[in-house]
Amino acid sequence: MKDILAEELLVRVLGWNRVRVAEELPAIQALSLYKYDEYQQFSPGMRFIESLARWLGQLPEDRRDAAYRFVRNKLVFCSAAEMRHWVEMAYPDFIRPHLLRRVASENGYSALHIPRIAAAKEFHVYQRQTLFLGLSDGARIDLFRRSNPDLNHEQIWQTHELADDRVQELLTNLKESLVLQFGGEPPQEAVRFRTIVLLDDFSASGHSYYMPKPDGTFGGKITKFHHKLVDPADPLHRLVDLRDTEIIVMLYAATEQALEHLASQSQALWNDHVKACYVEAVQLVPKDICLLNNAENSIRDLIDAHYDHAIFDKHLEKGGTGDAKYGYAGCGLPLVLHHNTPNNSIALLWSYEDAKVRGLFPRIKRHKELP
Amino acid sequence: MKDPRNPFRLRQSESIDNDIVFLNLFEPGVLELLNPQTWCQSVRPIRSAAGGGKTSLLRLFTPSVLHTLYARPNDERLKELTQRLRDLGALSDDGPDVLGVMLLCGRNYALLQDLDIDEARRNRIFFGLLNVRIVLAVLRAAMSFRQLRYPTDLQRLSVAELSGIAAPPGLHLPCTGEDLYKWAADSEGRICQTLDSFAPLQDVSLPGHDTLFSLPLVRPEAICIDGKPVAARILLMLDDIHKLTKAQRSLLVETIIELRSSTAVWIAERFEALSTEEMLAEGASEGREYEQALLIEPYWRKHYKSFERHVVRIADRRIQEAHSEHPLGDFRPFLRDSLDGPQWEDRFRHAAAMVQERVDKSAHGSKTFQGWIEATRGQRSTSRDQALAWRGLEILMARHKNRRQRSLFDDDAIPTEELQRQRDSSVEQAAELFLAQEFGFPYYFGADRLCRLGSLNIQQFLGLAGDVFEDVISAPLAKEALELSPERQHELMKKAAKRLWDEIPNRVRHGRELRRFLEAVAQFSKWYTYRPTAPNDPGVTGTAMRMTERAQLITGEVFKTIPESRRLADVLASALAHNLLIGEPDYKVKGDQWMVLYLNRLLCVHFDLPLGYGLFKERPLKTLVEWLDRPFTAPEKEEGLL
Repeated sequence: MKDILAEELLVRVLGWNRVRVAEELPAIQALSLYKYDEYQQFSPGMRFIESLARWLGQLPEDRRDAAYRFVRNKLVFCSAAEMRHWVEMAYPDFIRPHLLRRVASENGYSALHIPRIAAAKEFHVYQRQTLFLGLSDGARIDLFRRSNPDLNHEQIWQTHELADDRVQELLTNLKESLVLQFGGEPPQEAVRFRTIVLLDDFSASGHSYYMPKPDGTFGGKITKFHHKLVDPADPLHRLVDLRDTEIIVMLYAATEQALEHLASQSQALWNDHVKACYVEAVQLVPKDICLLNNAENSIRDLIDAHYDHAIFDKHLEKGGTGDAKYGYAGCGLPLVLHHNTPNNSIALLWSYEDAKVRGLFPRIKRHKELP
Repeated sequence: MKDPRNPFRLRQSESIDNDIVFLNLFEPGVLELLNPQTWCQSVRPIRSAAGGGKTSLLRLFTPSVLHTLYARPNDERLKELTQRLRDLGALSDDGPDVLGVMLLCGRNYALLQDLDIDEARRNRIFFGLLNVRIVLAVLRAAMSFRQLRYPTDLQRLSVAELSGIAAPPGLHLPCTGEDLYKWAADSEGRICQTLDSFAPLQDVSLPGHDTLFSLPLVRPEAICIDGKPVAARILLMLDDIHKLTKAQRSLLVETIIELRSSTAVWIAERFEALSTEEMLAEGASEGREYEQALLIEPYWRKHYKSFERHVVRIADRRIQEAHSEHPLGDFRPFLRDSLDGPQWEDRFRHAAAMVQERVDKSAHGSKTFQGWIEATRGQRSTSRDQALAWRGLEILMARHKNRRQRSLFDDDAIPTEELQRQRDSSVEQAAELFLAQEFGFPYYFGADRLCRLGSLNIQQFLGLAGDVFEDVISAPLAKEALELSPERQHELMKKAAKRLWDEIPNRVRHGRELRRFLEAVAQFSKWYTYRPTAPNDPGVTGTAMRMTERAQLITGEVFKTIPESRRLADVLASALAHNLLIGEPDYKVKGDQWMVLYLNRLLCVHFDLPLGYGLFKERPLKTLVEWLDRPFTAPEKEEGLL
């Protein structure tokens, strides 16, 4: 749709006079241009203002202004540029300080003498003995690699599910690097990864990493990874010497709720097996943006009244709620990521294109139902 | 580049990345600021408040802009600009005639002041950086001027020897442009590397230069391309000098003056760079070592009608650049400029009746004003005119009653001819203002008043016009007429005025103190304006101090007797630097000379004051000092309207 038509539609839907148009439209245009138009799941030709007009148009007239104010004042949109920035920050600002601290403590350096530690051979060896694995395709491993020229490409891999020959290859490459760093054959015990960093883009509940099961046990990606790593029969086990290994779960963005869940589950799961386990997030999403307890009544009414239960599938059911009004596990986020809206956000934001209530930033179904 | 939706929001010249758009937006009328004989000679400071238009003026003389203009001889929108530049000698039939070299001086020079080395070495680094950047800017501009590739074609450029000043180490003159480029780029790299290094600065190894040798180096006859001088005149334009530290700025200006280079130099800076003494002395500076500074707002103060004419044309040009579905035409017709029409009839009829009732009551049956009242009652015109006539009559009656000398025949009827004589346009303007205040009619509307509210500053005007234009382009979306009603214009101006008022403490040095002072000036003006007799009709919009008192503030002589006057000097300097007060020195009236301090016109809106220049009420220095801490309070004896 042409911009001008979309704007006309928006003005008509909201019943604005020229004064409201002059006050509101410049900001909406700026937001669209700066961020919202880049949402990757808009259908071809669709842009934010058209989507907003259609979204508001499906609501009763007396609720449209409240819905509009929610979008203006509460919506959090993480753009591609912001995500790129967080990816670029992850190693230098979050992982590297861990490595520096460990080298300092193990080798008697003052932790405050950063240049000295960073210049030490021990640090370069340890940096190489750190393995970076993606937890999903959101980990943006390509960008992570390009952003960190200090790291070797052979210590960064796009998935945490490693085949036998990949494990062998990682160890072989590690040994080759260490030969250069040691100036000869490295000690056998050095040819192990001493830290494993698990990378992912966003977590709202943390359930996909540590998924609670009805029987009280846990599933999820990190749980499975843990089971393999600690299993002497699994090829993955050969990567590390568990007693000397640190695990870092590194998220580019995460809610406080997710971090709390990850920290407690990581402690329960890893502490008996590895040296230490840390959970880090570059961008913390604070609790107070959650709409479950903090929303105004007008927004609660909207969330409750405009919901199509057809979107509630078995995956959402795992979150432990009876509906998806406040998203997966009742996270109640007003949050959109530039490539897809997380299902932990309120359904009014992400509800599918073909649902009776269409979301403002419709989500792509990750798990397609067979016809 | 996508056409901007609201081109009034492109406030800064730097944000317009396209030379054609820049030229289309440039209003040639502002070139009247430049003296055709002396504009490209010797050293000339160019000063204004932020947004006065300095950078746009500088950018106009850069080679790429002049070439773009020269290449469009048939473009109707650019013809006047082309002619004006031809009249100045900046353009000729063969192309640009002046090599304009623009250099932004805000880039990190101030950080040098923090280096832990002695002042002499700091200055060496400062000159070193400035020299290489001037050299590089000149080389780049020379290539652009001759439309050659930079830096590939620099071997065609030659640089002559320096006379009377030694070349810095490593530079062997005469040389080619390529050699000079390599030397400058290496030197810049070396200096930056030294500054960026984490290692302690070693005094002995610090790079730098002792003086600005680059100025005599880039004299017009010394820079040749293919053996011929690159241009008959070179104009070096140093912008953002106010971003240097005070010491750097003084050193730079003094050195440029001392060098007496044949290259013309413009030093563009905001008023805020000046010290209190310099700021208060501005406008009356004579006998300086450099050409008289070009002070933009003070120039427009003397020619404010020109300014207001130019900004309307600036607005027209901006509208033509707007991205719109339909042609929008000119700026002026968007702003309804009268309160005539049926929607106002009832309100004015009501106002006229109310004032008439007051007038009748005030006359309480005496025959003195009977003729005046009958004449006003008999007037056949619109209800607005009637309301104005009654309100004007009320003012004149108040004046008559307030006369100091009463005659023996005070009770005699005053002839109606006397009413006609006394009821002039000023009384009518006062009546309009009073009616607006009493009955809530819009006052700040119409293109003429909007231009006045720009307060001699282009950025301020663009901000206001941008608010108005946003409303205009919003109208079609809401299926409303493009024209803005007076109420809406008034509302927008009130909002803008409040914004300016609220920003003062954060935006301006001595902001809180200054706002207290401005409030006192404004409240005093308001009290004086709205007295029933409307003295100095239609009203005063500022105050004044004697020129002798101003001199005492500059010399500091008065600080001994009135210590608080030192604060007043700082506050006044800050207000003048930011165009919150508009100074007019040497104003002759009442047998004395005065420094008039007009409020920024937008502040007049905040305090419901009229917008004319020329009317003020002087106050002694002591009172002005008191206003720093104590708000103005109206005398109890005086009866105020409000």
